[in-house]
Amino acid sequence: MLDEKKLIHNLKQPSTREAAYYTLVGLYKERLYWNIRGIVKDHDDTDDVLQNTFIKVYKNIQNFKGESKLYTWLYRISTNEAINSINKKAKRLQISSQELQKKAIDNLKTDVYFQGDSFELLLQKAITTLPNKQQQVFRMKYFEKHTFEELSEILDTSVGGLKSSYHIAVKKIKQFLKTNETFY
Amino acid sequence: MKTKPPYKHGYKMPENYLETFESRLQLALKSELENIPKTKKQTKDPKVISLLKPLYISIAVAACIAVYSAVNNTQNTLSIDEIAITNIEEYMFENVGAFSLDQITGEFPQQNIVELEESALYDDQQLQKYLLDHLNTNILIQQ
Repeated sequence: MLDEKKLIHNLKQPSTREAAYYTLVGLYKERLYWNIRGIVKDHDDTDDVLQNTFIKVYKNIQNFKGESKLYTWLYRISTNEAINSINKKAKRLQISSQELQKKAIDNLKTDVYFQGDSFELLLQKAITTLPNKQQQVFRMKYFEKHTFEELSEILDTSVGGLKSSYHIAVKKIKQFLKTNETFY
Repeated sequence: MKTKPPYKHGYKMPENYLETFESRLQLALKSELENIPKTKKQTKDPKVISLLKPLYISIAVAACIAVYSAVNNTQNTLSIDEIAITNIEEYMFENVGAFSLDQITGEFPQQNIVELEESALYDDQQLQKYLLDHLNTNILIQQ
């Protein structure tokens, strides 16, 4: 695998930028896709956000100081873009972002790009009942299997705080599933 | 960093999505980058003609005229200090009937009036001489 420092160096050089940029895209596109998809749910919206994320990366690579790992920086950009996308869409539809997320979950039943069973659908529904930060921590820990140390770097939050958030999130989800178990 | 998601959550990705992503991104990026200079050219600052400038000039001209006329008016106004005392005395003699005693004394400071009264008193010798010259002894005897 290409050395990260070398990749960053190549991204900042005009002569090597183009090639290094598409190397970066190839390396991280799938991982970022799933991160964004977990937040916005819909595939088409995910595609838009992923493109915007990489465009933003291209435009701002000169400002990347290397104080954090490259993938941490990419995760932050993609997460912010995804949240902004939800907020913009909610504003356009004149509903809250929470309502929009519930609507997106309801749409999953008929979404051709969702093949989960009734439990997975209920789990997605349970996640949307959590506050945004808890949703993010739960998704990244439960689905993406990040360590708390990685999460701490990405979300700029203490490990203790993240453990607490995750614990509360799991408790709430269990409670939700218990209450709604008859539906699956 | 792992490049494949280690989880199953029910979401599905369309076939060949990732394979075609770079080409679509390339187009989007090209369009985005081409739009930047165009936008900059279009948003070049237009020449702004200030509407306030003529207003400031008019105000400045009006102010100059006002100051000039005020100075001229001040120069035309006569000050009492600039009139010779002799001219005033001459005017007073010629028009003495036009002033009442109150008007004249009102123009003098109190201190000047006191000094005038003191200087106007007759001394004892003058008074004795006056009485001797005008004494009517008959009046004294009758009394």
